[in-house]
Amino acid sequence: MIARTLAGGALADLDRDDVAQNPVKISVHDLNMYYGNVRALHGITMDIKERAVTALIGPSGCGKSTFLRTLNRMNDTIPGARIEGIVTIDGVNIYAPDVNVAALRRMVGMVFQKQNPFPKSVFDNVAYGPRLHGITDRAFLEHRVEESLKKSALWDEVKDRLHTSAMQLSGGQQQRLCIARVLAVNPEIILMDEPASALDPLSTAKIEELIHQLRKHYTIVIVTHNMQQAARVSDYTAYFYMGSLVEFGETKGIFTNPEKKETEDYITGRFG
Amino acid sequence: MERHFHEEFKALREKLFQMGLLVEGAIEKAVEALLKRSPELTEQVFEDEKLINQLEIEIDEKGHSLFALSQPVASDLRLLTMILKINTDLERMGDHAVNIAQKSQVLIGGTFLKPSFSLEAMTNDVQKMVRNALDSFMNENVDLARKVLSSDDVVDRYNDTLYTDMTELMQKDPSKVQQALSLVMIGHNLERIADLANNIAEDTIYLKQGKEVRHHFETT
Repeated sequence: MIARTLAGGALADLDRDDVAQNPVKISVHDLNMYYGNVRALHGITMDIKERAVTALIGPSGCGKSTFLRTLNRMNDTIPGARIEGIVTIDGVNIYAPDVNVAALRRMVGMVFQKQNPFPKSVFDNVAYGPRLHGITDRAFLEHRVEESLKKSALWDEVKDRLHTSAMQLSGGQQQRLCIARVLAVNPEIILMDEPASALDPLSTAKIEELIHQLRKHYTIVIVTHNMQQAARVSDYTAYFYMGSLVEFGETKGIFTNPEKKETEDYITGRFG
Repeated sequence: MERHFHEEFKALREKLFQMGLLVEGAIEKAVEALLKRSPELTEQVFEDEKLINQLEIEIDEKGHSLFALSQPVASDLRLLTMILKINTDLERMGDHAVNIAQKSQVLIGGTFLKPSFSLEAMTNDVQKMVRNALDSFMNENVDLARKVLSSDDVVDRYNDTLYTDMTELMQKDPSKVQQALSLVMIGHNLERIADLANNIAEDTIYLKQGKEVRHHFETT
């Protein structure tokens, strides 16, 4: 039965998970990105908050994945790709000549649309990153693997088959394994490029709940084609169109009362 | 599987309950102001109403956000819809409590006209309906909700009696018209509060069973 009293602080604000006070983790200023002569991003400026989920939405080809990949310099590997502008993480320009790109990508992990476990055991998949960074101590690795699998909400499902092939896991489990693999190298930022678009509704819900849990400890930037997913999981939403950032703000505001008509047209399905 | 927004639904429902407690208190104070001839209590009702209005807006805004952000379906959709409807009902109850307090202010200074029944008893019954309606919603207790629906006739009879008593009194002594009319308005407002409690009970039945019982229409 309910207690028929006004408990202390009973009229407190309903928005208990306010992240507006969190500091800025990633700052992007006047970012332009080119593939050869083609300009893919047009003067993007935005601040991404720490320990919050920022969703990037927009129609295909709008530049959201390209933008995501600028945040850990994944575009460096594409011939002819170049950028102008500044991207800082914790105030450090990640495009400065002296930046160690491998260290950057350790700090800024990435999860892709198609789950891509290595053809190895569950354990070896998660231990792969730490081993690559020179960790060989078995006890340490076991601890790190267990911790990462627990954080990715997979531990209970795989703890009895850590040494069986990761390829035997379901698609949803494989994607959570990929998230565990990212977590195992202690990143601060996780980039997700449509992490649930190839999964069934239940596996998608599990990934969404996982993202909601992870946001307490990590800065997450997620690209999604699924606007409802952006609404459900993110604190901030950025709407991209033709390489430009049309609108960026709190997800609550974007999905209840966007400032730009273009955003309204896109999220209500009138355009795109 | 519990989704993170279920926690927010729960918090919103609790917030609605807090608003209900304030409304219950405002109704009690509004009538008590008359019975105890206390202008201070009427002032408290006006203060309570400000808080109730503020909560109405807050619950409305949060409810709309949850609709947009969590895309509720099935029982989640019914719950969120009911929360927003009950929010409006509670706010209206707060307005009725203010109306009663205003009429009580008129009556406090004059001779107290007594109907043929206890106004306190009528108020108690109305308050009980509000309380049971809220409890039924919070606990999804259909039996309690049906009890609320069956109580409404009692309050209607009180109101009819009050109307008859005051009509007779005004015919006998036209100098008492203002006071008698104020008392009739208090009865009317209490009766309206009971109707709104009925709405909450009907919404609870719909929430729990998906059954439509409004306007004496019951689906099987």
